[in-house]
Amino acid sequence: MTVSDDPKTCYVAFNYEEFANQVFGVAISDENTASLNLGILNDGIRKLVANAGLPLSMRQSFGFPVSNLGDAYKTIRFTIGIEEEDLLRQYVALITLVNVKLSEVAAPTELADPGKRKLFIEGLTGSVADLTRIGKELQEALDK
Amino acid sequence: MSSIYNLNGIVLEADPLDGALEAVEIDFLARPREHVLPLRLVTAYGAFTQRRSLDFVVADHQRKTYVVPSDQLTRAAREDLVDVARLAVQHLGEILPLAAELLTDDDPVPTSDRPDLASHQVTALPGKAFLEAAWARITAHG
Repeated sequence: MTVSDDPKTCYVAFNYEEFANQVFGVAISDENTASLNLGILNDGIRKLVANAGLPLSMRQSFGFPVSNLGDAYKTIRFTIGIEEEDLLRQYVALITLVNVKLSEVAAPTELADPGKRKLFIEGLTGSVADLTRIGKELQEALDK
Repeated sequence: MSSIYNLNGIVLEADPLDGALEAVEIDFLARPREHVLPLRLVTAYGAFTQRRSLDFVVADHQRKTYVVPSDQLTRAAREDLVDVARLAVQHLGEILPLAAELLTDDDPVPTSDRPDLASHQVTALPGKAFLEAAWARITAHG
């Protein structure tokens, strides 16, 4: 066991604050926002990582030498590791694809229901089964 | 962003935009979202429609950012904004039950229809009944 004391370790924390307010309206709370974050991470991003067969770990905390995604309650934390640039770009494409698809949701208020939300988020990326498809879908979404 | 006020978790900022407009941000740090939203709404309502009658639109779904004409965001208007934000926090204990009872996504407060503000409008200022009740409670204390 070694202590990670690399001062150059960095992570990006991203959140869905604006989207959460569209989903929950005046019923916004810390609890439902955290639930939305966790759903996007588990049912969207993690599933896509698995579909693509990428070696992205999911551990709490930060300071890891390899890339890592973790739920941080109000945010999702992405620690940027020392992998090759191509792999890091694939992670970025994958997270971007989920976010682009979420931005296209026509009726965000319907996602306030946890069951509907789970099904919807899973459906966003369920058909994206490999890395080639991720790149293609992302390009199509960005070209719109 | 330039700071209008930053003390005890109340953060008020203004950022000049093109076309003689200002983006005003209203935030309350270290509070849960279920408190922050009513505080932002009451502050905007009190400062922009009750203390003064400013042209404004709501520029994000968090109801954190409001766009107003620069010439209306005078020093006195900024002082009113600070005062109302502080009053909102002081009366939070009275505001929250009113929000639970009256605040809905419908029942909007009218905002400006000025053409130069239109492109900045993202959503409405909700909860007219809640805001009227909250403001009455705040002003009842003199």
